[in-house]
Amino acid sequence: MFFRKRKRVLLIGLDCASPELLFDKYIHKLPNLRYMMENGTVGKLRSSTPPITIPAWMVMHSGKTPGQLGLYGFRHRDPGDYQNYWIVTSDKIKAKRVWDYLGEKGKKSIVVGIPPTYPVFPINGNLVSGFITPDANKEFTYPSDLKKEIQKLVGDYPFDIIFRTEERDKFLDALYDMTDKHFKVIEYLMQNKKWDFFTFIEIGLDRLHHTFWKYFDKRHHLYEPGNKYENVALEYYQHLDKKVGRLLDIVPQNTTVIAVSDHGAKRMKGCFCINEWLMQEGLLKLKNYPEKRKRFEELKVDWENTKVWGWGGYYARIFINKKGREPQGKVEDREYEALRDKLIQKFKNIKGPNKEDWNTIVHKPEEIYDDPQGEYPDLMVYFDDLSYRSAGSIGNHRLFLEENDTGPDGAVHDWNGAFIMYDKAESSNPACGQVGLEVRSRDTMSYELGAMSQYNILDVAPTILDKFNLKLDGYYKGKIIR
Amino acid sequence: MVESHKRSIVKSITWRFLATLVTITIVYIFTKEILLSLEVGGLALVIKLVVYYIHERIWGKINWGAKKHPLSNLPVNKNLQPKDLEKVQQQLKDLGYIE
Ligand SMILES: [Zn+2]
Repeated sequence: MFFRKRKRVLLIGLDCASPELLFDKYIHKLPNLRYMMENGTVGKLRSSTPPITIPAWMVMHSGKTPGQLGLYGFRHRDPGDYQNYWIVTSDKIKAKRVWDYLGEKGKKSIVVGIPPTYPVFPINGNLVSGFITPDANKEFTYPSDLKKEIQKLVGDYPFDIIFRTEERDKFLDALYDMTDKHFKVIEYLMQNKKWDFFTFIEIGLDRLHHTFWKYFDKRHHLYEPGNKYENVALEYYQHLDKKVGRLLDIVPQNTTVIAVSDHGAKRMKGCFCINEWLMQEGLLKLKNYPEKRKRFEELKVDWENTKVWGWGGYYARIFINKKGREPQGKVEDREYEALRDKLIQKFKNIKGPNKEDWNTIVHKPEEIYDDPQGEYPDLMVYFDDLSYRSAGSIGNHRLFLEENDTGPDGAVHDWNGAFIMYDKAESSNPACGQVGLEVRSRDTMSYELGAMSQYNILDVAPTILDKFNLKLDGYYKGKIIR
Repeated sequence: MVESHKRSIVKSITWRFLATLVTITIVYIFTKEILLSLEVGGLALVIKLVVYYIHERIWGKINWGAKKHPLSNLPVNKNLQPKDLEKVQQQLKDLGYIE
């Protein structure tokens, strides 16, 4: 046909959207997302390894693994330095992203809030940076004049909210304010700028999960029945569902709409103090044990007598004090492999605070990535399959913490995110988003998580490019989702 | 009109041929010496080739009057200022992403 509408793709990024909540627990109350599911393709989406916001969104947009990108979290060691580290900002990303491929072909993209996109950089289209932006006084858009348009539209543009807080009501106000402003900007750009590919993420869901998980998950060890926040998660999912419905209404026909999350979430059972444990095992020595809890970087480590140390986070990064590589290296080359294998066994044998068995996962980076790049650790450890965070601090006087050592937190990440792809066809009713969709009763829903399709985060970039008849450069593992 | 490479090459050859012919003719009108006219024409051809190249390279360094690339007003991947980096670091600590 001559006058075919041009092909577009809209990616709706819901950071941390959990398949358990989205596809199962809440689905009967989310009419718009359900409409997409019932009329499109749906499945669980295996996140990157590690399943963390950085690198996950970059993996999704580049089609390359964390090993290829050299990104294993938000920070990385300065090579050969015990203390200093570098933060992942946009200038550290070397791989081409979907909008780069499209820009080369003259196609326009709009990119909003994808981490990391600060400092901003030119694309063929418009870019608004995400939550890793110092503040709104900085240049956070490309082209730079777009900032004025955004500020005229919504006033102060919020990038994020500080979520590890006990002031829950204040948090909720800020959350809704941020979300509404984000979507106002998104709708404005969608209707006033040219685009072939539109991608954005809303970080609010991730912040909500961390702050409120213990209030709605009955299995959480800190759950209190009848608390006043039981329904906040459902209400926010419903709020997002309405926003999605609005976008479905306004996107032009012949647009493929993908709603997706970078990883899932589940209840946090606690923290495991990795460095306290390494001290007990005689592998790490301090010059003196601190009176109060201290960050690992603040401690005086006796490097002469230290073989191993670890970093905290959703998973533990384990570093071996290797001779020739570290400033005061202790472990000889010939000892290295045996020490790693011994550590793997020890990690897998760690039991929980009540002597319960754990399902701890340990990876050697070279075994899970082909030819890893950058500053990868010697081992990557997921305590009890992510249920326990790793805490790097020392001075806790114990191995297990009920709460996070970096502030109140109720959730950890989980391996599976969510994927929904729906084609707004040329012939479809333009008002398909909201009309005639009612909240259905729970028992009419038929999504069985175990039986759902399993996709991979590496599949997303090739799937988007395929809509424009393009392919990723070089080696990639992802498959096109049809 | 955007030209094909072939068209540009053929045009530059015909123009050089014509221009050299003009030079030879002028020198011949003034000197009436056919050999000298041919020598000057040949030399001018080579010298002008070199001078034109230098001239092009100099103009290449002058932006005046040139149309700007739409993406040229921002340097690619501006480096983060140390102060901003500190701010980002603090934010990531508050968010619990780093310790
Ligand atoms: Zn995330």
